[in-house]
Amino acid sequence: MYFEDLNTLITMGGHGLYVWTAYGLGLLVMVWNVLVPLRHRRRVAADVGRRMRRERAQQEAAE
Amino acid sequence: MNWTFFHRMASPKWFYDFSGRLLPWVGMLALGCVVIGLTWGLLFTPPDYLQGNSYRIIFLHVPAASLALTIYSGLAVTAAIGFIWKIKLADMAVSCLAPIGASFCALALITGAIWGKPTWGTWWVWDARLTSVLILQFLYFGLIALREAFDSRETAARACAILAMVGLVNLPIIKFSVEWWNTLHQGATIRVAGESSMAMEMLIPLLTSIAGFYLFTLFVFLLRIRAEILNREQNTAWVRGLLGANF
Repeated sequence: MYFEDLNTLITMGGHGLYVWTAYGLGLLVMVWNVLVPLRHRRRVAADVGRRMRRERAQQEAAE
Repeated sequence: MNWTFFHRMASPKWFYDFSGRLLPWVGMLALGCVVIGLTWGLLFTPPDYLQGNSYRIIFLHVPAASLALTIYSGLAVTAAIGFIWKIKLADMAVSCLAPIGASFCALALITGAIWGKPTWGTWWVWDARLTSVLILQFLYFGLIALREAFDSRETAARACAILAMVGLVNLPIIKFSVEWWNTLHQGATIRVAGESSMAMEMLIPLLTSIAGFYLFTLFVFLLRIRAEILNREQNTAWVRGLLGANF
């Protein structure tokens, strides 16, 4: 590792706040990009499931 | 020439199955490259002799900016294909690419501002590069908003495709802004032809990070379009069979 200890890694010679903020935001963007499609998929699956259950109930009621 | 492969590829069900097999490999490769590239750049490269440690933002800023441009070109080409041949899957791809591109464009702008403060002494200047990328950001937002503005999916697809194609004009402006105008932003560091103006020990982690972010984009694009396929095809037998099995 280039840095001697944890302290110099965090402060980065005065640039720590800039560098770590940038990397934090990068992580945030990546997590957001993964979570949004997963949530969308879950929502669609729940919708389809609900509709299919309702149709089945209607079918059973008609019989 | 046999065109059946083209039609098969454009079938949502075929694409869903195919992308499902691809997904875990792309995801693992993306994660590996991003983790290696960023850790290497953050911890194992020497500081820049002029900029000190602030330059480490490059390992994030360059992939994000590069993707903001590449995603837009991909989006515009896909929109044109969808516009001409009326392919449903192409419009799904356009709708999925816009928010991903917008997120990377925002990341490029923000990491650029954070990098600019210690390096240039300012968060923002209205120079040609920064301004043209800001316009790209608004194009992405415009594409997202325009889709929401229509009730009819076909009309929305056509409107978005036209906006996407018109916005293509902005890409060469961004690319050559640092050469055409006297900008505060530096010129290209990595050159495909000719020698890159960067030391190998910094260039290799940067290229690893770029590869990782491109793979990551492919990964989240596949995640998005698979959810979108299920959404738009939810009345078909195959989607009901697939999702109905869980209920």
